[in-house]
Amino acid sequence: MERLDERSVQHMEQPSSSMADVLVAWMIIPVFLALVGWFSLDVDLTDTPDAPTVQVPASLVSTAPLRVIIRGAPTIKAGGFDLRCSECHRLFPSRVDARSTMAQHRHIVLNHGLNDRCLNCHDQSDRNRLRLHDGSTVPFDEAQDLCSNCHGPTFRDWERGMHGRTNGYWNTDLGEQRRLTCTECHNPHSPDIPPMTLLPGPNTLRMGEQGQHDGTGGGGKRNPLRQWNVGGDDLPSREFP
Amino acid sequence: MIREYLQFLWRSFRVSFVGDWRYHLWMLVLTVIALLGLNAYCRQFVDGLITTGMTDQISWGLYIANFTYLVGVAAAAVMLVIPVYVYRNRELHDLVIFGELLAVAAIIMCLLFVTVDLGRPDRFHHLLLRFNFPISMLTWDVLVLNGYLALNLHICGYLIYCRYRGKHPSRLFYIPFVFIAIVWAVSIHTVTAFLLVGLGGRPFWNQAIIAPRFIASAFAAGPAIIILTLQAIGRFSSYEVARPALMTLRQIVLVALTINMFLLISELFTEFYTDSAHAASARYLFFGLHGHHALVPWIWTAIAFNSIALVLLYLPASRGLKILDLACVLLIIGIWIEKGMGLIVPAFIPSPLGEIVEYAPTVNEVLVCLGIWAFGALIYTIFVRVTIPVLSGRLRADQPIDDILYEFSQPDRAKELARGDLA
Amino acid sequence: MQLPVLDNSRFGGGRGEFQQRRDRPEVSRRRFLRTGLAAGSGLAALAAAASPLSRLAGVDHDVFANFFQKHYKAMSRAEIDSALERIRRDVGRRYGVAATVQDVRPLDGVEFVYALNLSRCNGNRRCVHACVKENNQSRSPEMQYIRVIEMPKGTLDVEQGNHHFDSEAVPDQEHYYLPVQCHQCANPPCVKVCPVEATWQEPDGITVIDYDWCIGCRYCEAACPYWARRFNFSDPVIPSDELNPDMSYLSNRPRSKGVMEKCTFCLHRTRQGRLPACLEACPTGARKFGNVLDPDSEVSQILRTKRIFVLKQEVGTLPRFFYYFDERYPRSGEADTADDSHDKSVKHGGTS
Repeated sequence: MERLDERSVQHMEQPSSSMADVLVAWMIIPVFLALVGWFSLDVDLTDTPDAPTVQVPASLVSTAPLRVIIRGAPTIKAGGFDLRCSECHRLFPSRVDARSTMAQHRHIVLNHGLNDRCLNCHDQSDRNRLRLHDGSTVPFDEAQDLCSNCHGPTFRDWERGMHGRTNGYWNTDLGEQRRLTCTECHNPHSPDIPPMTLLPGPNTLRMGEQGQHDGTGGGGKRNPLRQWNVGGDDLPSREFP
Repeated sequence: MIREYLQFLWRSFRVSFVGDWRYHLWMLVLTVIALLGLNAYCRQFVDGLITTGMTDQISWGLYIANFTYLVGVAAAAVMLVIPVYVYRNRELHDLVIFGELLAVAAIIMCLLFVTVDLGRPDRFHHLLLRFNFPISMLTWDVLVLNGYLALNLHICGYLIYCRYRGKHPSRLFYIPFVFIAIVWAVSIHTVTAFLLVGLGGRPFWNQAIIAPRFIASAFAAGPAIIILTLQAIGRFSSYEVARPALMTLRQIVLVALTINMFLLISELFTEFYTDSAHAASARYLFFGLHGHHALVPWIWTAIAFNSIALVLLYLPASRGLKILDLACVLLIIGIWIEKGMGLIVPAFIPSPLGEIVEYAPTVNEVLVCLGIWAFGALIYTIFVRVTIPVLSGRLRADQPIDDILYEFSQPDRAKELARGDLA
Repeated sequence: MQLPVLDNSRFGGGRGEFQQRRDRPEVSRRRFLRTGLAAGSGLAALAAAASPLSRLAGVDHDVFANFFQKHYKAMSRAEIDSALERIRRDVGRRYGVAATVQDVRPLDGVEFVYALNLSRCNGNRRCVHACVKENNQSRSPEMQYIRVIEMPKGTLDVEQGNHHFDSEAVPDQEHYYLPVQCHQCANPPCVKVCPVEATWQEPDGITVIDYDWCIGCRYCEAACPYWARRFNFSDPVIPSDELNPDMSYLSNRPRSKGVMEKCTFCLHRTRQGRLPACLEACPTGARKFGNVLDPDSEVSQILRTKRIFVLKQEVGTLPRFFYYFDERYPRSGEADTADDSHDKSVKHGGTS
């Protein structure tokens, strides 16, 4: 509480202001002017992070098929010439039980499940065509007829559009729909879709450190599922060969 | 009649600029903070919400946290009404106005917090043109908050203006509204809770306990703020606060805080005894999740503060103002943390797809929040500044305001003069 | 109310003092000057505080242009056309690209459904980036509607998944991959919570957003159980040479800051009969799309014949996005028995 001092008592005509009153009163204008100065400096105190996404070239997201299939009869380069299959195979007989490892077609690696004989699919008498189970032949660009001999359910799905890749229109009244045939995705000698390169993952705003983690719940008990399946932070519980 | 009202407003304006050095310093500090907040918000308006720490994973942060807290304060400020009008406790009669003025200031702060949180505040009028009522809980919130503001502005404005005019207020014009305000106060906070509760994709919020917890914590924090502001008013103005008023408020805080702690225990048990995958957010908040633990110290501090405050309030010593004030400060901060960091943010971690991205407010965001708080304190100070002379009869329509201006500019000297210390 | 200390009558001396002070001209002039300076500096500080707003003046913003624009569902044909024209002009001005902006309406008798074969997805993320290009999403800060999650086998608990997998090649044999985007739910929580009806579900099942109506409250983002909705925290950055000029009002026209966006099943393509960009980019053919009201469409057949499921079914959103596995054998490289030395030919009963 302020006590009136001698000076104030004497100046009865002027109401006295204490030192604090004067100080604060004179502070007001400089403080506001300092604010004007500070705002004019336009200092940005906030860190606005750069969170750009990696630009992906258009080729990586193209709608083109994975493989280009053989139309007509396949050819092979030998001795500087493009030769049809039949041109050599007319001359050289091949073993009926020829397996995957062969001197002549080294680049072909046969890894097609139980199939370990070339002639399971290729026709012995006409190497320009493929052989179905009933002995008839089909050209290379209609391989689905051959594949369906073993892969019946998959073929049934494919016919209905449930398996395989589609481009173009879902509504065939409005445009053309292109359904890719088996060999446009699957290499017939090694039909598993090969591992692909991975496009960049998310880099969203203020994402922070990210890693994989196990779920919550379960009360810390051991999950029998993890005997054979990897969890979040778990290593595989047994080594696969 | 309009002319008299305008004169009242003009006088209020003049009165709010006159004061001693403490008053000027207080208002100066608040104005500076408010201007800093305004500047930060202008940046946000130009650059977008990227100036805040919010992300797609954590799409609501400090703004909605403060909004939630202040809705509770606004609701609880009307708590004073209940003992006065329902239990006819005449001693608290004039305190009702202070409580309702606090509610007005708090609601204005809430509306400001919602506005700064919008991505396109320039499209506010879309709310008027296409209003998804009653399906969207946000529309309920818009209605109840603005209605509550209008209610309290009417009640306070009417009572104060009548007193200023020297007229006896007509009971018809304010008693019904007071009772509506009591019910409405509970509804504003319940609607805000239902905003969160109705979201099935956020299991941390999708629980019935949220709404009762809101009310309980609001009725602890709100009266605690009123206890402190009343003491400040008593200290810095000529108004004397009746001690029974503070004790009644203390009782309210005690009961509400006890219920709040019980509900907290209930929540902790439900989450952690079951230990289902739904407890991921609670686990993140209380113990950390997969190496992320930014909020863990905050929530345990809040629980510690609330627990200490509860123990203090149960002590008979809390009838003394020092202990009571300490308990109030602790629980105001504790409940702020609990409702903000402890409720809004954890619901977003982990994201619905299991990603963990943590949240930290930016400098800009904090400045905007401080600016709004400062603005709220500013307008509340002005409200109180005008109200006290009106209630004491020194600011009246039929008298010049020189006396009150003098008293404000020289409060100590004026006190001494009035006591006749000087010739 | 009684004030114990002060009352009116004792203010005689005070009034006199105050009155005297006010009467002295030098004092009142000084006071006036000081008050004026204080008020002036206060107003100057207020103006300076708002100075960042000056940056709004020269920037190319559509803030005022569409202030009076009505909600999409309330606009007449002419109003929509003028809105499309405005968007065309804006795109030309900002990006220097001649875009076609259409208002593509739903087809009759069509309800879209998406199916995803989890046995075929290998997590290569081409769908993610094709979507970004097709839908003109912001490159900085990054926005991607689709999120591919690497999941450990045997669980659908997305919390155990990893969004940030990064290896030389995919797939990793210990995991399966779960792409998630907007499911265009039949009972959408986002539509329920929007206060201004800026998002709604169209007759063909697509949940759309009117970007010129959204107020950016982000309630829908909080409500979505699949984290499918995205918010523009700042003005989107799209390189002009990557802009897709084939745009429509409700899907991939450039958005402004402060509004929400999300996957729209490429409605500018699908409503004209084409397949969505994510589906066409998928190299393994894991994605299937079509009209569920057509019994012969591939999605209808999938729903009838495959063992499909949806994510978070307990939340009751009735998604239009169905997942299924149809693998019959382990993938190559994975052992199907405990003992790999076991002679396969004996096991499968085949002869050489």
